Parts: sequence; C-alpha cells; structure tokens
Amino acid sequence: MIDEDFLKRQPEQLLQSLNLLPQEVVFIRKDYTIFRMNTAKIKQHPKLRPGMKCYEAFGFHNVCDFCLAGQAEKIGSYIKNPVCVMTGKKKNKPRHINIIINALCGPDKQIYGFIEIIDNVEALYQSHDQLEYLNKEYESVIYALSHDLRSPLISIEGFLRKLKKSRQNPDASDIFDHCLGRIHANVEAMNNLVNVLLDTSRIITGKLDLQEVDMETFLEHLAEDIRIHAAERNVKIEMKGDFGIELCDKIRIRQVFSNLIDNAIKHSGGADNLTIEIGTDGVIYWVKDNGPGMAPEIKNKVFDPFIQSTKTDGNSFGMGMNIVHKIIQKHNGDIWVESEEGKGTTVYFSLKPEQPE
Amino acid sequence: MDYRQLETILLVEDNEDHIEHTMDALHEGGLVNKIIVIKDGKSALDYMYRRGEYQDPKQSPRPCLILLDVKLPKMSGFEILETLKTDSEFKVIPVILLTTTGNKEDIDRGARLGANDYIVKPVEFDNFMHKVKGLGKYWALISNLTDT
Repeated sequence: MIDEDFLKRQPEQLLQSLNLLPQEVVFIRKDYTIFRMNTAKIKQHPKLRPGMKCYEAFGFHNVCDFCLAGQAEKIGSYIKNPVCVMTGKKKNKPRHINIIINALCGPDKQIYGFIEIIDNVEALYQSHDQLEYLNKEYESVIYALSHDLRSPLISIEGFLRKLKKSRQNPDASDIFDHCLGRIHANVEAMNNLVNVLLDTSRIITGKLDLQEVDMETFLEHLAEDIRIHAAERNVKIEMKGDFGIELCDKIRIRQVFSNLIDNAIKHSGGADNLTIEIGTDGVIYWVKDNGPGMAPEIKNKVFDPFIQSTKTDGNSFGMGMNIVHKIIQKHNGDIWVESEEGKGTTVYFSLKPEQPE
Repeated sequence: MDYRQLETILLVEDNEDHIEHTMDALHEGGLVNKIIVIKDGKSALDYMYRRGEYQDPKQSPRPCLILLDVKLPKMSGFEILETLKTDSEFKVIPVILLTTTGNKEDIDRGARLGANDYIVKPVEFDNFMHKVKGLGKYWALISNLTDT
C-alpha cells in the first residue's frame, strides 16, 4: 500500500532494487520536497539532497510553470513527457529524456506525493540520427549506383548496335576493334565499381586487423612504391615529422594513404611540380599537396559517396574519399580537409582504435 | 555545306561513349546541324556566356537547342539549367535533359527548373525528333535533315 506510512517506512529493499535501475527515480512529497532518490538520480544531480524542493534542481525558487507533478495531481494519473534539456556549463549539450511522473495515492484516494522516473534516451536519439544519416547515405549510394552501373550498360548497348549495323560491312574491322575495345573497357569499369562496393561493404561490416605498425618504415615503403608508379609524373613525395608506432589495421591504413596520394596526383591537372607531404605531429597525420585545391562546394561534400570534382576516367567513381572516411571512422578517428583553390589541399586525420581485448 | 548557316546544337555530356552514340544517332538519322560538344558543366556556362576560350562568337554560336546531361563534373546539369533558365537572354533556348536512369525526381526537378523535355539515354533519332517536334518552333532542325 502506497501512502504516507509507506514513504515513512523507507523500504530499503525497494530502494536497493531502484538503485539497480539505469533510470533516475525520485520520490517527492506533495509539498514538492524530495524524499528519496536512487543512485542514478544522485549521480546525475549530485547537489540534490532529500529535503530540498524538487524545483530547486532547475534553479527555481517556486513551483515551475511546467511542473509535471502539478499536472499529474490535477488529472490524478501519470504524465509522460519527452523533453530535451540543455546541459553542460554552456548549456549547449542536449540531453533527451523521457519523464514519467505518477501521483502516489493512498486508499482514501488522497495524493501523498509523486514518483518521478527519468529515462535517458540520448543514446536512442543519437542512434536515430545515425540511422537517418545512414539512410540518406544509402539513398545517395543507390541513386549514384543506378547511374554509374547503367551508364556503362548504355555504352555497351550502343556499341553492340554499332557492331550489328557494321557486320555486313567488309571494311569495318576498325569499327569492330573500336567497339570491342570500348565494350571491354565498360565491362571492366562495371567490374571495378562492383569491387569498390564490395570493399566498402567489407570496411563497414568487417573487423579491423589491429597491429602495432612502425609508421616510418611502413610509410617510406608506401612512398617508394608511389614514386615508382608515378615516375613519369615527376611527383615529389616528402615525409615530415617523427613517425612512431601506431596501433592500426595496416592494410586499411595503407589504403587511406594510397587513396589520398592517388587523389592528389589525379586531381593535380598534370602539373609537373606536384609535391606531396606525408606528415605527423605525433597525434595527427596529414597528406598535403600543392595541387589546384578544391572548390568550396566540393570540399563540403568531399566524403560523400560518388563525389567527383573532375572527370578523370571511366574507372573513377568518386568513392575514394568516402572509403578513407569509413576507414578512419572505423579507427574511431577524426578526419577533415583544409583546401583552397590554387593553393592545394591538406587532409588531416587521427587514429584512436580501441585496444583489442 | 557551310555549317555556319545551320542552327547549332549544344551537347553537354562528359561520357565519351555516350557522346559517340548520340552523334551517331543524330547523324545516322540525317541531321546535319553542327553539334558542339562540351564535356563539363563549368565549360558549358563559359560557352554560353562566351568566356575564356569561347569568346569568339563565330566559334561559339548560340545554340538553337541544348542537350544537357544531368550528371556532369564540376557543375551538375541542374545547376546549368537553373542558370540558363533564370537568364532572360537564354531562357528561350530549349533544353532537353539527358538522363541515364529516368529517375522521376530528376525529371521533376528538371521540369521545375525549366527543362523543356527529357530523354532517357541512349539518345535515339526517332525519340529525339519526337521531342524536338514537341518543342514546336524549332523547325530549323527538321529542315536541315538530309535525305537518307
């Protein structure tokens, strides 16, 4: 029976049980005096004490205009309200909560107090936001995919028609060679796109193979490989800073550096004096180039899937930076871009992978 | 034939294969108009506003029709469409959007921005002429058909 005696008896077993709950639970007397709280409530509001008025928790001196207990008393039932409160010193950190307040009545139907239960649903909100973000990304991927897969199909269809028209022509061997070559190139482009998508999917769903990597040796080898591959372009690759040991997925991080360097080369417009700097300050890594830089509208969506700043070739789908972003996210790191047209681009990132158990 | 006397068609398309197929389709159908190909969005506007390499009006005649791919590098087809259709000088030039997918949202967006019609690629001559006839006043194209 819940009445004044019930509150006075302070049933320890009940409070012990409430202390196990993640929800904040507080018993309030009818005069808005806090009577008892569970551990979750004390943790969230360490300054609250039994005997204080509940509205003092909000910094008020009188019953709040929006007092839910008052509303519960008025209707004689419970009130459930989703609320977003701003927390933190600057009151700029949103905290989404569900508040349930129920009037506690005795057998005589008299209200003796209230029980307030606060459920922190911030994680749920964040998951919701994350899902919305993923959903939007999914939609844009489907849209771009439908274009990028259909485009080579249209080309193939066109060349097949051309072949069909030319089959009676004895002098059409050049046309045959051209059409077959283009069909082959388009099939290859589709195959590459499918591989990129499979790789993206593996990054999202797969686990990182974390290991301690000597970044200096690792990046020197990578730089050497790129120097050989880009020899005819006379690309200068420089290393700056003290590279230590980093816990990361070596293959994926190689992919990050390779994609960033490839991008710098690909979008350099064929300039001969391209210099790419791979650097670190011990916490943050960067890949900096003195290329043409990005237009602001490209910079703002550079990590979106299927974003291309320039037309390169049929095997470029604008997925490189999206893959880089996903790999860094998977390493719990941050990534951002500084770029100015005519002055070059620097991509910064950090790595904070969780230690394997 | 002196092409300068003919109406010019501007084809804004970045995919080399699609350019080839469109040119083939139009020429095989008998169209002898000059077709100027521009491969990215920014250059398309440079052409229309006669900027940079397109400053000479003789080399950059005003098109009587623009075939505009939706997905282009540097600037999308929609951005070009919006710029042209909000410019009193260019808004009368009919624009046919070229779409790879026939995506309804793209078509609706194009219509809202003032596109006169759309073609789902590949461009085929009969379909192209059907659309051109739908634009009414552009008999110039039809009169330029050769006997094939």
